[in-house]
Amino acid sequence: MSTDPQIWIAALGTLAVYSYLYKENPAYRIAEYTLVALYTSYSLVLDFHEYLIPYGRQYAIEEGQWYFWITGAIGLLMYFRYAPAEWNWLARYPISILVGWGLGYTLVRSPRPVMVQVKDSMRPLNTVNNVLFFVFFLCIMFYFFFTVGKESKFIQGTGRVGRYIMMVGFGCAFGNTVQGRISLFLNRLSFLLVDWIGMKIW
Amino acid sequence: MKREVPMVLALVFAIIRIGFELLQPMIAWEFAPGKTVFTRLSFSLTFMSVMGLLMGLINLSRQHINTIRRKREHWVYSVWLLIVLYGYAIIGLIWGPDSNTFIWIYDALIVPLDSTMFSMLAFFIASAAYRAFRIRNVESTILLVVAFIVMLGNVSIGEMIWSSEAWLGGFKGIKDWILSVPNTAHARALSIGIFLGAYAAAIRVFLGLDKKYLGGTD
Repeated sequence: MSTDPQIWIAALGTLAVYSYLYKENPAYRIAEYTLVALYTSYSLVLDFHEYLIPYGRQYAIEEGQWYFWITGAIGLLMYFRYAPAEWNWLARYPISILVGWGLGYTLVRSPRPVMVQVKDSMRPLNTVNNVLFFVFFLCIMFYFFFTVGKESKFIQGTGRVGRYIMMVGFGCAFGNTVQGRISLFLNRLSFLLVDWIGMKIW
Repeated sequence: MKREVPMVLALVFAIIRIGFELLQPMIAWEFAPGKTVFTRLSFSLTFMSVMGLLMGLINLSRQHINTIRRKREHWVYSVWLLIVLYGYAIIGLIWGPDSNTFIWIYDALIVPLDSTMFSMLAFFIASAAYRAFRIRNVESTILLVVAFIVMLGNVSIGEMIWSSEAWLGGFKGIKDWILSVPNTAHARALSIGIFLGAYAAAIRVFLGLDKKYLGGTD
């Protein structure tokens, strides 16, 4: 059995999380609250050391870029969210600027990857697979086609095939997700048996 | 001042960004040799967003301090959460993310707890699959059969049951066909639908028809 305290803590944490499979209990709750707290602090520390300090030091102080002081001050307005009601609207200023900046990017850049996919979807109908692909693609599009009513037999039929094809797609995602989770579970099991208990499996 | 100015700011910054993305002279615009306006503006806006880095800490603290103050159910865990939250943040802020203590705690708790939480989904997914199987309609049957084939096509036991050198390429051959034909058609159609919805939402924000990002009611 391991004598490393780090492995012991990791093993007890792993068992505490798995204890939820039996029923909700204090050990699981402690593990859950610990993870939430650690992740919040982790992201705070990373943002502080990788963005706030380097950007502030290099651009605002060393290079004397005055606008960094302005954007920094506007960024601080976000904390007015916690101010009394007559002042908390000030928090909207930095949020609006960031929304606008991201919006401009989305409006210009987001169509391109989809257009590439649309272009690739228009394949020459020279193989059975290409014909099937095109038919499946159109059937799924018809499933979401609400301009004409669902009374039409054609729309109903293609929509039903589209729904079945979507189930095939969801089945693929489901199978891959199950496998991914099982491999994570095997990894935890291997950690408990080999690293913690010291069992020789291989 | 309260709603109109933020909306105008969003519109102005969206137009500036569109200009930077579409107009070549604008993106190449330098205010000093090797320093473009676009990169500096991007950096300064990143700096602006990082200024809100304490928001998560404050929100979580407010919620749990409230729980403790009102002695709500499970308030003891909130005390534990605050101790861990501030303890780990102080260690990281003082000694940095590369310090031994910070990394030690990360390896001892975050990595195992995170992967264990995700691995638990294997059990819940199995129970979801059982419930889907009990519904016994065409859709749930297709979903489960396909999931089963995909899993068998990925693992060696599937190869042992039905070899990839046999008829139809075995489970692996069928899995490859499913992934490349119906699954790709499904992913394409869905991504186009998602894009159209998201783009329409973006245009609504751009035109000022959707103001939810402003929050509040005034």
